[in-house]
Amino acid sequence: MFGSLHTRSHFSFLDGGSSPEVLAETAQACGHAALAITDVNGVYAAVRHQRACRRLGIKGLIGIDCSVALGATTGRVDLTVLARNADGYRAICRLSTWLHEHHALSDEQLAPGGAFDDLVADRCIIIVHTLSTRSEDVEAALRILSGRTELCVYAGISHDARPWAVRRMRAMVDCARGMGLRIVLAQDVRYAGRDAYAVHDLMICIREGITIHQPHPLRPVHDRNCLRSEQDLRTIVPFPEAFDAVDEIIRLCDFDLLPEHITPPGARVPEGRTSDEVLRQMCQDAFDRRYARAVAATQQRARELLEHELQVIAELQLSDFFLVVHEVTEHARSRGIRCSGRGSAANSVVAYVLGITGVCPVEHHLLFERFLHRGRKGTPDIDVDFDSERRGEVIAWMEERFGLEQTAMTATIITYRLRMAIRDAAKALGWPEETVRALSKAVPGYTNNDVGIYRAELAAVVGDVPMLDILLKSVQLLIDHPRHLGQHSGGMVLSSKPLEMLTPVQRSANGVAVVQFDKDDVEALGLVKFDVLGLRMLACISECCELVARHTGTMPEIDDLPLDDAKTFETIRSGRTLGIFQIESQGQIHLLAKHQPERFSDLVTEVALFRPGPLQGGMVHPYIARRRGKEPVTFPHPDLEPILSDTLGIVLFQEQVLEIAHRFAGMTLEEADDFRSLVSKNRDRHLMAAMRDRFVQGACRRGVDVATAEEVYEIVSHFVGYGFCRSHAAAFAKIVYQSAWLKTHHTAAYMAAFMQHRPGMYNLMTLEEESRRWGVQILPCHIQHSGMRYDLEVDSHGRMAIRKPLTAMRSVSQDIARQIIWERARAPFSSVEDVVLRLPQVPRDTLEVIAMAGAMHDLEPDARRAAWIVGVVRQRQSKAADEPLLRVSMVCEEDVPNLPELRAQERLAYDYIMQGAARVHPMTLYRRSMMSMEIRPIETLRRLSPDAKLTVTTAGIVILRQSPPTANGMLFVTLEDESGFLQCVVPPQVRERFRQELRSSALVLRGTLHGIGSWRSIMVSDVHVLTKVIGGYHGHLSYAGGQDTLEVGRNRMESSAVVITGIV
Amino acid sequence: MKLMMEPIDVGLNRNQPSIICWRGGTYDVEQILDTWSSRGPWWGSDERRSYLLLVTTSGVMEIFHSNLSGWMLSRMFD
Repeated sequence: MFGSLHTRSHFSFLDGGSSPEVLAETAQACGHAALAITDVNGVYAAVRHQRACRRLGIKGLIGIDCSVALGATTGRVDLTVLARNADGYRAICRLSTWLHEHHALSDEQLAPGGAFDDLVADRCIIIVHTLSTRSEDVEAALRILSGRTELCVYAGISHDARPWAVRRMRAMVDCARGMGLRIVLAQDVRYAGRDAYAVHDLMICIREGITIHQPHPLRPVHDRNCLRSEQDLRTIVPFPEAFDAVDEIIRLCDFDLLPEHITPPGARVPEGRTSDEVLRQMCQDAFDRRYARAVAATQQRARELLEHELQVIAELQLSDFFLVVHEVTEHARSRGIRCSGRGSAANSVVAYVLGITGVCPVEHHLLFERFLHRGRKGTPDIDVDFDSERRGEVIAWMEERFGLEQTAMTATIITYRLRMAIRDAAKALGWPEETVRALSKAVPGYTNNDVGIYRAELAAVVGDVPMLDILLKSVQLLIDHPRHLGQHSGGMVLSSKPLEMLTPVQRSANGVAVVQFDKDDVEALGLVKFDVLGLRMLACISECCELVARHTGTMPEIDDLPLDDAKTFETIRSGRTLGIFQIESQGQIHLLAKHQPERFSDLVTEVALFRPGPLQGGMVHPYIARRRGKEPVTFPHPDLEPILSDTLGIVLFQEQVLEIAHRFAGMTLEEADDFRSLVSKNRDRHLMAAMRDRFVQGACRRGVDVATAEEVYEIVSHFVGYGFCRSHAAAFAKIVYQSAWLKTHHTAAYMAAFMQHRPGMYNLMTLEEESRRWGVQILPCHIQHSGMRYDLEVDSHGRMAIRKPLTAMRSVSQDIARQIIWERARAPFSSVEDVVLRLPQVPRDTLEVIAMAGAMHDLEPDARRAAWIVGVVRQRQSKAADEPLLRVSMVCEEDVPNLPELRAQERLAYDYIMQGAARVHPMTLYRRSMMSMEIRPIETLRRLSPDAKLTVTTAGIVILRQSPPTANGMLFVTLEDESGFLQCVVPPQVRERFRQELRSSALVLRGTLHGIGSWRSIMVSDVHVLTKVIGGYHGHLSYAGGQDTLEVGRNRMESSAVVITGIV
Repeated sequence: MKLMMEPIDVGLNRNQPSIICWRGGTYDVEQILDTWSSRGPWWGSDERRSYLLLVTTSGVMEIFHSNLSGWMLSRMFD
C-alpha cells in the first residue's frame, strides 16, 4: 500500500492550499490506498478527512505536524506524529492541547515524562523530517529519539524538488542507518494539485505579512509540494525501503474517528435507575402542573405525544441530553436568570413539560418530527436563550458542574469571504493601507458572490490597472479557504468523557476553552452540543420586572400572562411598537398595520411573515388578504387543508413543508426532513431537480394528478431562503407578547430596562423620544441621584420617570461612576468644589463633562460656571501641598467671570455630545419656522387620509437609512421629529438625483402620502437639506442614522470641539 | 561552469533523458545526478521548469524542460 504520510490541508491555516476532500480525491486519483492529514498543531480536518476517505474507499490516517526546539541552540526539528489507534489519537489530542497552551515544544518534552510520554510505539508513529532544518539538528533529534526504545520513530525523507535533494536524502538515510532507525518516505505535501501552488504562496505571503514581490525563505519556488503517484516518486527517490516503510505504517495505523454512537453528557441519574426512567418520571411529575389549566382534549393529545416522544428519545439515546438541558435551565431559573428555549426544540412536549421551552406544542400545532424523528442522523439542536447579562454565570456553572475537562465551546471555522479576501490579497499585492480599506469597502460584506461582479467598483478605487486583474485572481484563489479558528456564539460541547479523548482543546483570545471542530464535525464525532445563547431582550424583561417589583412592590407574573390582553393587542395594532421584540422595525410596523393581529397565533405568523423566505416567496400579501377577508381561503388539494388551514392555505412554516412532503408526496419523515432542508437552503439545482421528480412521483402514487402535484411542488419550492419553523416563531412570539405587555402596562420600567440593555435597532435619542411620547419623563444624569443603571423616580406629577445613569455621560466609566456613588453614600455633595475635592481620582476632563452635561445642576445651576469652578478647584488642589487644618473655600466669587448662559441650541448640542441624547427634540427649536413654510409635524400626517394621495412636506432627523437587497434599489429613510417618526420611500431615480442631499442628517422631504390604518408613509419626490430651508442648523450630530449618538458624538468630537471651545 | 541557455533536443527512454542533441552533436546520458523544479510567479509568466543535472559523454550538463520554451541547456560544467 502506498499513500502520503505528511500532508497539510487548508486547516493548517494560511499554509495548506487544499481542502481535505480535494486532497482525498486527488490521492485516490493518484492511486494511493491511504492518506494521512497532518495539520500544524491540530486535527481540525480529521472529521472531514475521514468522512471523505470513507466515501472514496481509501484509508484516512490522522496525525499532526509540530516543531521541536533543540536545547540551547537555535535549531529546531519538524516532527509528524501519526495515530495508530484510539489511544494514539487521544495522545495526539493531548499533544495538540499542550502545544496550544505552551506554543512550542522543546527537547525537554522529548525526554521521558515530557509531553511525548504517551506517544509510545503501540499508539503513535513519529517521523522526524529533513524539512527546512539543518542536518545537525536532524541528527541531534534522531539521536535523542533513537535512545527512546518505547517510541516508534522513523527518519522521514522527502524529495523537496530543490537542487541536491537526493544528496540531502542520502545524508539522512546514512545518519538514520547509523543509529539503527528505519527510513520512510514522507513527502512534504501542502496542496493537492500543482496549480494550488499559487494559493499556497499567497497564503504564506499573507501569513508572513509580506508582499508577493518580497522574497522569503518559506515561500515556495516550485509547484511540486503536491500529491504525486508512487511511480512518479520512485523515479526520483532511490531508496526502496522508504516505500516499504510507507506500506508498513499504513498497515499499522488503523483508527476510525467517526463513531456510530453518541457520547451524551453525564446527567445525574440515581444508582440503579436509567436515564430513560428518570426522564419519564420527571415528565410525568411535571405534566399535571404544566397542563393543569388545559382543556381535556389538549391534555389527552399532549399525553399521547409525550409517550411517543419519550419512546423516540429513548431509542435515540438522548434521555441524558434532555436531563442535562433541563438541569441547566432549572439551575438558571433558581438563580433568577431568565431563559427561554427556542428553535425546533419548541416542537417537543417533553421540552415544554420540563420547562425548557415555553409554548405548548399541542395548542400551537407544532410538529415534533421537525425536531426529532427516528431517522434523524446525529443529535438535535436545543437552543436556549439566556439573559445576556448573566449568560456568563450559566457557562461558569456548567463548567463547574460537568467538569472543565468535559466542557468546551464549539469552534467556527472562519473562511474567506469576499471582503476579507480582498483585504488580505490587496495587502499582499502591496497596496497601501488606505487603498486596501477603500477596496474592501467597495464590495458588500458577508457575500460570496464572484469577485468579478464587482470589477467596476474596485476599478473605481485603483483604476483599471493590470494589478486589478491579479487582485481578482488572488481573491478567487482565497475564497472559501479557512483563515482562522473562531468561537461559536453559544454552542457548548458537553461530554461524559474527558474531551481530550475526542478533540484537542485550545483557548480563545478571551480565555474560553474551544474544541478544534465546528458544530457539524462535533455532531459527527457523536458529541452533544447545547446552544447557550445570550438574548438582550431577556435581560431587558428581567430588569424591567425587577424595576417594577422594586418600585411597586409587585413582581409581574410575566411567564403566566393570559395571552389575550386587549390593551397589549391595541399597542401592537396601533404600530406603537418601537422597542418591542421583533416588531419594532419600520417594515414590521407597516406589516402590523395591514395584518392587525388580534390573538397570539397572529403574533406567531407576524414574526414568521417578515422573513426572507415568505417575503421573497410572495406569501405575505396573499396571507394578509386572506386574513383580512379580502380573498377567499383556498387549498390546491384537499389533502393540504389539515396542514395549511391555520395559515389560510399559505405555506409559512418549515414544518408545513415537511408535512406536505410527508403526507402529500408520501416521503418518509427522514426524506421529508431532507426535502425541507434542501428547499429552505436551495443549495443545489441538480438535487432540487431530483427532489422535484420524487415529490411529484410520490404525490402521483397517492392518486394526485400530475398538474396538481407540480402546482403544489411549485408552491412549496418557493419557500426558499431563510424562513422560521413554527416552533421558533411561537417561542419568539411569546417574547413579543411579553415585551408588548410590559411596554403597555409598565412603560417607564420597560423603557428604562430597554435603554439599559439596548436590544433593539434605534439610537438613544429615539428611545428617549419614544418614552416621552408615552408620557414618561426622562430625567437627566444627576451627580446626586443617578446610579450605575437606568432607574425609576417619581416625577413632579407623581408619575414614574426614568433617571439616566452616571455612565450615560461620555467618559464616565463604570469605575468612575462607582467612585462617585461610594463617595456620595458617605454624604451628599454640598457644592461643585466639594465634588472635585472628594473625587481626586476622577480626571478633570471627566468632571468638566459632568458639569457641562448639567449633572451638577442642583449644586450650580449654570453649567458653564460649574465647569469653570471644576477647573479652578482642580488647579489649586494640585498646587496645595497638604490638607489644610481649616478648610476654606478654594473658589471665591472673583474667580468666576460673568459667563453667558447656555442657549437652547447650545444645551442641545452639549446634550448630544455629553449624554448621547437631548432633553428636547431638536426639531422643536425650529417648529415655528417650519410651520411658516408649511412643513408639517409627522404626527399630523396620521390625520390626513391616504386615499386622497395628497402631496405633503415634512422634515426631521434621519434615524434610519435602509436599502435591503430585496427592495430593487429603493431607499427607506426614517424621519423623526418631536411628534413621531415616518418611513419615507425614495424611488431609485429620486435617490440617484438627490444622492448627495440624502446623506444629510436632517432632511425636508416632499412626496405623496400613502398609508393604511394609522400607518403613514410618503413616496418621496423632492429632497432638501434642512439647513438650506431653515438655515443655520448645527445641533444634531447623528449623521450616521441608527447609530448611538453618543458614539457618533465621540467620533465627531474634534469637529464639535470648535463649537464647544467657542461657547466656553 | 558556463551559462549556456541554448535550445537542445532530448531523447527520452522511460520518461528519462537518454540522449542530448546539441549543436549538431549527440551525447549519451550516463547518469542523472539530480533533479529539481522551479516555477515562475503565478501572477506573471507562470513558467514551469523541470531541471536535470546529467553526466553525459560530453561532461556534466544542467538542462531543463520549460512549458514555454521546451528543452534548454542551461549550464555546462567543466
